[in-house]
Amino acid sequence: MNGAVDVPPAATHRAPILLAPDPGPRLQALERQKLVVQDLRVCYRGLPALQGVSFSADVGQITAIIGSSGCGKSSCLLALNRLAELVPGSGVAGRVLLDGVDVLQPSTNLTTLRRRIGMVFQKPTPFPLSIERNIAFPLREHGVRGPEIAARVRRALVAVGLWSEVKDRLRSSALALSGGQQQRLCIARAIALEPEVLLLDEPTSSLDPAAAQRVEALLSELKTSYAIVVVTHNLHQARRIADRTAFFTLEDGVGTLVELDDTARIFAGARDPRTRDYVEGRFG
Amino acid sequence: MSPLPGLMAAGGRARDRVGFAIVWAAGSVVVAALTALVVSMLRAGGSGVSFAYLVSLPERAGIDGGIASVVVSTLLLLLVALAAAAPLGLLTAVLLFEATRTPRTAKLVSRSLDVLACVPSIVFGLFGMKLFCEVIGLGWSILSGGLTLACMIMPVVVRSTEQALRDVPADQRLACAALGTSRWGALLHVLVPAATPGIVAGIVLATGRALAETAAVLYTAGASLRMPASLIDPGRALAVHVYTLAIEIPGGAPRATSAALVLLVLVGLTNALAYCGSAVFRRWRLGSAA
Repeated sequence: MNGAVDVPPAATHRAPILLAPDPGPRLQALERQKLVVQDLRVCYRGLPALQGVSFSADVGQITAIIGSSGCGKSSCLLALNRLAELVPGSGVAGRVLLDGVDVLQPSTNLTTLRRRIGMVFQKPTPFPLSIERNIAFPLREHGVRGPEIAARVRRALVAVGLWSEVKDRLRSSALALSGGQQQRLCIARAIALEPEVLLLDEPTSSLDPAAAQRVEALLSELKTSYAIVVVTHNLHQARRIADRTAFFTLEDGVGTLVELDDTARIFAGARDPRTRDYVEGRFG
Repeated sequence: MSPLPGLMAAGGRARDRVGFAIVWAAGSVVVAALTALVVSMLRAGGSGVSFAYLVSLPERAGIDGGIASVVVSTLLLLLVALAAAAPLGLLTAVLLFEATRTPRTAKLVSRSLDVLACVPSIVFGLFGMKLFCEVIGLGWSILSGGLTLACMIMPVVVRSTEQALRDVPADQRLACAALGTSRWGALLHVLVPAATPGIVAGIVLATGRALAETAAVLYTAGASLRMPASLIDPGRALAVHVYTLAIEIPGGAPRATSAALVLLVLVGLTNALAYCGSAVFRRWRLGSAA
């Protein structure tokens, strides 16, 4: 079982249902995927927080991660671009393959990794700088110089639909923008670096419904260019925008991936009873 | 009337009234003390303060003439102190803030600062006299006095800057890390701008202390009433002028009060300037111009 994952999952937890019965062609497809996660484990101060997580994400699709609070969804995202290790006492094991190369290796250049895997947080985090410098500052940090900066700032703002709203006040503070605009600015800031994967941790949960809708529409547009992984508490949102959905739950106090499938399957006919309970609101 | 009747029960209301009365009384005492101070100073020395007083040189040890040279000396002392303490303080604060990998060093530095902050200013004065005037050979000069003041206000600058940096929400640092920025880049472009109001507040606090300081500059900058021609000339700080007139010059008390009034206004101006500065900064941030 679980033939595509060459690191055997720990014996203490159930293997996630990942693959169709015949792993042959699927295996090849899996290895060509942009991002492949194999038996990811995260612990804090020696206590496991997440284990047995294997999934993949590819350009052209949105993968949603759903599950109740505290089941390791955010820890999972933070492990993928190695932000988790900023937490004192944290440990990450397993494999995270970006174009087939394991980014958890110590030799990974973190600056490059975080340029290739962009991230957007739950609360908009504009810097106390002008709108323009919010995007230009990370670009400069990554060695982009000259007129290329202005061009990329513009392209990113156009991509998130902010350009027409802010083009006359690029020099004014980003903190003056509305919450929804701030979140789109944060997405623009991430995609200006031309990443390959975009991770979003509940990107709309602090926004009003109209702003949330704009961000959702934006993600659906962006998925043609990026592999998108989005953590969400909002099941309707997962249903609306995600091509595939992963369900996480707590098992003996440790977060784990129960099931990953096409979103339609997860919401109508999930294989695991725990998934069915959760999406039907019978959880807990 | 109240949506929370339990909180507004009769006993609660009586207690509220007593509580508010105490709070109001305390506030009134503070305001009254300040008012009494200002009024008494205005009555005793207000008549001595005029434009001519501010722009003319002192005569007869300060009993006649103005305080132009004293004001200039004071501002120069302040300038030297800030020019030395602000950059050094900022860098030390960054060290303390970033030294998460060497917590012992950070602890040592921060304990030293706490001790330094408690050292009486007369001790700084003697230290400055020994080091700057004698060992380094700057003599009694604005430079010696300013550098001594810098040593004295350094802990205030470091502590307030460090706290301002710590008060920047952690998600800003995380967002920087997620964008793959360098630690220096994050510090210079995000954390320091975000901490600016706190840093400015600390520097203003330090300025206030330096402005009002007597003991630290008495032995280092001297008490010369001549207009300083350069930073290596001696000069008399306003607070020293007040002290000298009040204690050492017979009949100098009214002039001391006038000088003290000028000092008070200078301190007030410093605060107002900082307040306006941070208000402008905040307005830019919230984008009322847009």
